[in-house]
Amino acid sequence: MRCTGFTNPNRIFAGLLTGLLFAILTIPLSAQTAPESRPGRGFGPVYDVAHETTLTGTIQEVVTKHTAGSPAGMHLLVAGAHGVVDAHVGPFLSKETKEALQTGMPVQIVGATLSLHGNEYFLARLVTVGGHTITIRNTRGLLVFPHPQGRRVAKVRNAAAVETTGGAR
Amino acid sequence: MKIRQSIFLLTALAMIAALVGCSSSSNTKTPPVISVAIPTPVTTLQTSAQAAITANVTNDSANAGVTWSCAPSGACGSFSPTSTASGAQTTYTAPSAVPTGNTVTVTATSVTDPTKSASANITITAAGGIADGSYVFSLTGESAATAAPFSVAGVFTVNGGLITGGEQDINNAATIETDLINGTGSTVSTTADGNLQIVLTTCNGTDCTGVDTGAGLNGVETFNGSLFCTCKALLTEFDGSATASGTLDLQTPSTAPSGGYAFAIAGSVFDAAISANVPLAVGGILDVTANPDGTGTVSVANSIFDANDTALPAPSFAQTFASGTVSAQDSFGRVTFTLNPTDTVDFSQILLGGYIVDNTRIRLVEGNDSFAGTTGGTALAQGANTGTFTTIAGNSYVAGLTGFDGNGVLQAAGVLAAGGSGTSGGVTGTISYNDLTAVTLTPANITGGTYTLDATGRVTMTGVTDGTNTFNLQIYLTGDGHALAITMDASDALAGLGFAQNGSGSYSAASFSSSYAMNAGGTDINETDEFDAVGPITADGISALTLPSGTGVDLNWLFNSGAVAGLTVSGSFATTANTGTSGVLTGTMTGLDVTTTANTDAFTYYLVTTTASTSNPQVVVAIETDTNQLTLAYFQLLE
Repeated sequence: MRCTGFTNPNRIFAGLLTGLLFAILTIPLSAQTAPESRPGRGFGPVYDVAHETTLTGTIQEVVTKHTAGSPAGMHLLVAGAHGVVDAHVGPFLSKETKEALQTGMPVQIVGATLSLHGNEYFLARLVTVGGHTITIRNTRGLLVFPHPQGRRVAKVRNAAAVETTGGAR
Repeated sequence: MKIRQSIFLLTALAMIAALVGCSSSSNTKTPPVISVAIPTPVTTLQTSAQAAITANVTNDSANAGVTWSCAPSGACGSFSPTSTASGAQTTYTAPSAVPTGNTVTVTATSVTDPTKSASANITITAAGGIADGSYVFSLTGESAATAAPFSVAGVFTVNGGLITGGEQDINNAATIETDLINGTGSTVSTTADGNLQIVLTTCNGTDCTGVDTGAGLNGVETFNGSLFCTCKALLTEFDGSATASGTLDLQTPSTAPSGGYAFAIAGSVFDAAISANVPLAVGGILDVTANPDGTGTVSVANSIFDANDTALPAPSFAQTFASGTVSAQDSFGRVTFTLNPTDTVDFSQILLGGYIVDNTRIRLVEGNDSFAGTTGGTALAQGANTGTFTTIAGNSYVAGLTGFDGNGVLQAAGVLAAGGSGTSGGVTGTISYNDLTAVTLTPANITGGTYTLDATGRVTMTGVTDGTNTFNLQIYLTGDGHALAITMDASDALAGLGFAQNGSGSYSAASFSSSYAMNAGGTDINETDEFDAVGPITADGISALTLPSGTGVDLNWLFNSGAVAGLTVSGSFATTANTGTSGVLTGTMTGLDVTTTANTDAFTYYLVTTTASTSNPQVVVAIETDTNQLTLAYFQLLE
């Protein structure tokens, strides 16, 4: 059947169901919510380290299937004191990191909340799992790529200091 | 007496001759002159290709037909059969190698009258459709080794239809090296669906005796291409080591780089503070003074760059170089740019390997430098326009950009028009962007923004907004209709190509017509991995995009379907309220969706020129505007 992404009834139905699921599961963190409009900041979501919070809980579900309108890539549904939060960890994780993020694993995530199309997502910057801290985003909120082991000279920058990371990378 | 006898004799002879002449003209027939013709001869063939050829013989009462021959002897191919009756076909097989001068002459000679013949010249091209010469290739995409950005560029030489050698630079963060290309194991051919295929076998640096594990699949790279002339193609990497998009251009021997160059490089850069690679886009103007010894010196006074290095807290505008040099060309036309930024705290030394295409283009790959980037890009010469830019008021530019934001991969395309006068003014136009969360389902009108132009051709666009998102853009002009662009936003880092809109009259559906080479790239709905595709496409100037008969699109989706050839792609387009003045069409494409093949995806098409003609080369930039997946495509008119 030929159909566009916005007229395919199966896709819409699946999207609505998943969106509804996320809406039910996601606990608003309105105090730290960044605005959906991004004046002067560009196309991507605004990320403000000054509004970061730390989320502690257990991975209830690892979501790899995209939901229409949500940030692409892997999401973790993390159950904790805030309820169940949809934490976005993105598409650029290393194989080792993907393997480390399993259902039932305790996890601590530093990030900020993004309100998007009526849903809220916790944009993860640092994920600590199994004693290792993994950098997901930089301080500007852009997703990072794993660095291949044993590569060349490391450049030290005068950027804003961020945590030393290690772990499954 | 003797005189009288002589006059009598001459008179008698004249009368006899006249009688003989009268008799001849009135009583006997001269046989009609035999003529030979080769109707509608084939004009171009690839090496070893076959074509049916026919000769028509007229006035041959013997009906003996023709014999076939060709030149240069021994290097011009063969015929089967070697003699044919008038009007009957012979099968001509082109030589296996391109002959000297790239041309053969086939001749049909009358059997009855061997003094009568007809000839036709056939241009022989290397298999794959490209002529002999050296070709510069340049691609950027995703490496399988790192699942992150990578770049490769180089040059290979085709002689007699065979690749004889070359050189390339590759940077995928894990491997950063310059390697020779081994003629042994390198081929050029045509795929079953009619596309160009280039297989390159790389060496370990200059050592071609072993297997190079740093590039391609154990040193073997496969690129498929869609030709838009016998000398240029759009490429995609078509193997399991990477997927990427890029270009192939016939190399023209060139003088040392000289004058101004607009340049842009993009990809990622290593951030030691977090031990990860982060998105990066850098652009600027390099003004090079050529030295007598073939090297060059970068003018620190007239060069400038902007860096959207997301390892830094904010984009860095108007940076300068403390010094810079360009090495002399090697035998493959490769140079090295050594750039030393003034701000040594934020920017280390940058080394760029550059492959000179001609006096206007240099393809770039970052080397193993302390800047620690994994970037590739291009430098476009400004020539006589260097340092003389005074206004762009009234000009409009189509741009296609790709990169990253906090949601993952981000693509954008649009047309930006400069208002005002002199070196500043407002920005209008239309923009589309897509990161699968923020999507312009219909082209959005730009409602605000300003620009300034400096003499180097660097345009700073600030606060450009469609009312939803506001972005900042740096554009670097060449003055001949080409441009490079990067975003200077806190929340994204994009880079891409720009084209000055041109042509008389207004845009219409008819502006999108004729045959194109297409190159598309993007990601699936989950952004698990990049895909890239090439193939031919025909726009009918009314509403439809179709694949030419017998052709297909070749697509590589890394880690997933892998390289798949012969896909069928179709599409549609229609005018919008922005078509007439801005060249914006909307429509669909089917066949490029890697997530759900049957999806008909929504697209917006940005036209560069108002008419499609070979004298007015046309590029169309297309962007997917739904949440099915991300696709940015370029259509290049066949020349």
